[in-house]
Amino acid sequence: MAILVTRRMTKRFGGLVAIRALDLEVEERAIHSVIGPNGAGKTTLFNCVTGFYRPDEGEIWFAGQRVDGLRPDEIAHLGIARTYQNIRLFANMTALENVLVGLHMHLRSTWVGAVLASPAVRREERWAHAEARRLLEFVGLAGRGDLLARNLPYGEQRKLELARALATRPKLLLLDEPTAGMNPAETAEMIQFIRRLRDELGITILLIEHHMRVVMTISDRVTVLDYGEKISEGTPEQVQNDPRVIEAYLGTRKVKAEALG
Amino acid sequence: MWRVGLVFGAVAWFVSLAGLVEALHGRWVVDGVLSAGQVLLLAVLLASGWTAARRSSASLVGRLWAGLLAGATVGFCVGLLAWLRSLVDLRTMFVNASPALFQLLSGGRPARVAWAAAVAVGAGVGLAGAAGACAPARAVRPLLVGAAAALSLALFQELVLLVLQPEPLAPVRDWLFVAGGGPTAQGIAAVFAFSAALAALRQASRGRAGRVALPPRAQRVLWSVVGVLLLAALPIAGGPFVAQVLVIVGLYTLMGLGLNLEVGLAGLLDLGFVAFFAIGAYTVGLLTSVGEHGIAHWSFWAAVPVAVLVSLIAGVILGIPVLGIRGDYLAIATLGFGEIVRLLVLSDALRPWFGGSQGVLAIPKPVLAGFEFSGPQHLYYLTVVASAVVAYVAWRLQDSRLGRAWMAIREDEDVAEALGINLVSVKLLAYGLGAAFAGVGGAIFAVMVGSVFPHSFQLLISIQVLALIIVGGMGSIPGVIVGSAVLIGLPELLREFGEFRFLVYGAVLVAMMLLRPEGLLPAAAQRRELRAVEEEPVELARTPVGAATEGGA
Repeated sequence: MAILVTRRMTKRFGGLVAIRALDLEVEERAIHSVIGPNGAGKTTLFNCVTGFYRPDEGEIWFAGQRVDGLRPDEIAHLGIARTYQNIRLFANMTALENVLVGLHMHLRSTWVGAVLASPAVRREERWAHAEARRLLEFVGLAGRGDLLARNLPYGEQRKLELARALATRPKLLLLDEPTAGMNPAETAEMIQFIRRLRDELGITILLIEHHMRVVMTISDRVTVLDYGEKISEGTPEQVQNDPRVIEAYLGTRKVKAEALG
Repeated sequence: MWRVGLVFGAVAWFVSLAGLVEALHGRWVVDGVLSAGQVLLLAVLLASGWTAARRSSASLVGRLWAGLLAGATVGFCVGLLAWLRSLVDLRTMFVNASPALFQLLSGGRPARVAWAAAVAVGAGVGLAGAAGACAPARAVRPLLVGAAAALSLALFQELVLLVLQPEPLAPVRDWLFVAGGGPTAQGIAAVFAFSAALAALRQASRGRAGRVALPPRAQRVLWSVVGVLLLAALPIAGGPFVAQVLVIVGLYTLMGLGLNLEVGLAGLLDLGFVAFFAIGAYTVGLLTSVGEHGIAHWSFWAAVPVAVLVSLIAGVILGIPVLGIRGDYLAIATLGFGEIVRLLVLSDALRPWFGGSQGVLAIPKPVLAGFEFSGPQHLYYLTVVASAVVAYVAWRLQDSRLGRAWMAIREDEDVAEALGINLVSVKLLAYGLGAAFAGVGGAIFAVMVGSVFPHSFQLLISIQVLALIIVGGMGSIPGVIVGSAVLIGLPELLREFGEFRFLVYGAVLVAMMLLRPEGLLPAAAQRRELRAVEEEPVELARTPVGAATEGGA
């Protein structure tokens, strides 16, 4: 069953059509990749799904509920979390605090309770800290909780962003180029990790990725966008052999080569 | 190097022509020998030598030479000023270029002799500054501490004299101070030596491992007891004037704690913060006044909760229209709000209720179980208790779910929202609670003055509150207290600075941004961070030496 569905979704910026009438279905517990050349509308798709942008036309459905037009925090409450292409951590907060913010919507304490330090609030805070530490450990950041996020090395910042997203306990996780800037060993580790998210936690993954090796290794399904339109969709093998995809990726170079030749 | 000298020469010109040197000249550091004005000039010379030596990458001799040259250049500039004055009357342009100033600069000698003397003195002091920069920090720090202590004794001599007022202390007083004059040479020397020795001892013991220390918990308890006793004793020892200053520091602390929630934690820049202080003051004024504008004749204690509630609601009301505004635009919008409140209470249309520019008069002092909080010494305790309660609330909030959400929206609003944080409620709570804190301050202000006028709530107060947060350290509660003591308390105590308050403010703020942008007492996260990477500073300390040798080679 599809957990995320877009129907004829269009997003324009002035005269530019970033996404045109996109129909997308993401199956539950799938690892679904979105690929396409730069400017194809991949990140715009993420921003529409998470409520940063409101689509101009069409609908977005998540887990049987229409979500276009909802605020980002309402969408987060329904169970969608994301990471960002250029890491966006809370730079001047510690790693632990970053994850605690991710737990925000699963905590109940009010400010009055916090001021009075009621037993319920203290219990909840203890639980939250333990849970945040557990998540840090889960992504491989055990013992790094007290460092400011901005002082973590690049690879650990990516992990922290994942821990923070996982803290919201998402049903659907949107990963925007999770292996960008990683070496082959780190990339392999990330592939393993994404699989674990799906297999152990049952999270559906929607992925933007430029590394074709990664896409072809882990995806159950691949959607190819070009100039805001879906030009191909299917299993990695199907997509790889689709002439339209090859043209989108290599076409310009071919034309250039002919022109030069 | 002469370029460093010219920069500091310009500083020397500026402090002289602005009148700061002459104003400070009225205060003896050592009675009959050295005035605070002279110390200021000497400090400029020392700083020039220090900076020149720091900037130079030459050998030891080269660095000392650089300091000497810079100091001499500053001396030359000062001499030039004195010489210029013998040619033209500078007073037509610089009102503070008085004969007394040049008497001080030239020492009463003819301009050319004085010029040569200034260059010589400058070179000598510049050399000393350079030596300070070249010497290891371990050797220099005790000297700096000693100098700071000696200077504090001189600058706060009225205060010290007040404390030494009782007759049994007369021998100490007479030993430290010339009757009716400044500190004695022996007094200053003793304070200098004592503080320097203490600093040196502390430094020596820090490195040793097996020193006797109480467990941290006991230490904390001990320090809190000492702190509470000190807080309780201050107004008794210092008298009504000191108590008054401390009440004002307390009121700014209350406002600072409130604004710190908005700016320091939630990152919502607010330049109209004085509005909430005014609303708190007017609410208490109107509810308790026995004059013509009083509406309820309530007791202070009944009026305070209402004042806090009204301020809170006002904070939320301000928050609603500016919810979608970010950054610089937010500062302008809130600036407008502060002015709107002031102009509303000033307006003629609302005069029947708020009294216009006449304000609300005849606000009675608070009475608790028959005890009247009449003078500043009584109100001091009220302010301290209020500040402590508010600081506790702020501290609890900061470490709570809400506090983390505030920090998150400060860091990245969009990401925070995508993590399920409702921006509307979180922002409105920041505005509301911050305003409520200021309302507490306003309530005490109303009973302290006994009347409230629109003119007490100028934009300047908002700016001062913002400045004290920046100086203290954004988002840090102890920082707010330190910032308000430094920016509000010190200028009140140093009467010479009265005129130059904003000059000093500007200088302090610029210096803070350059030298210590995180504030005097930075927020907890940064401190935790420093502890976590304790090994690194050792390496950092070594770098300048390495860089210097590379440069030399």
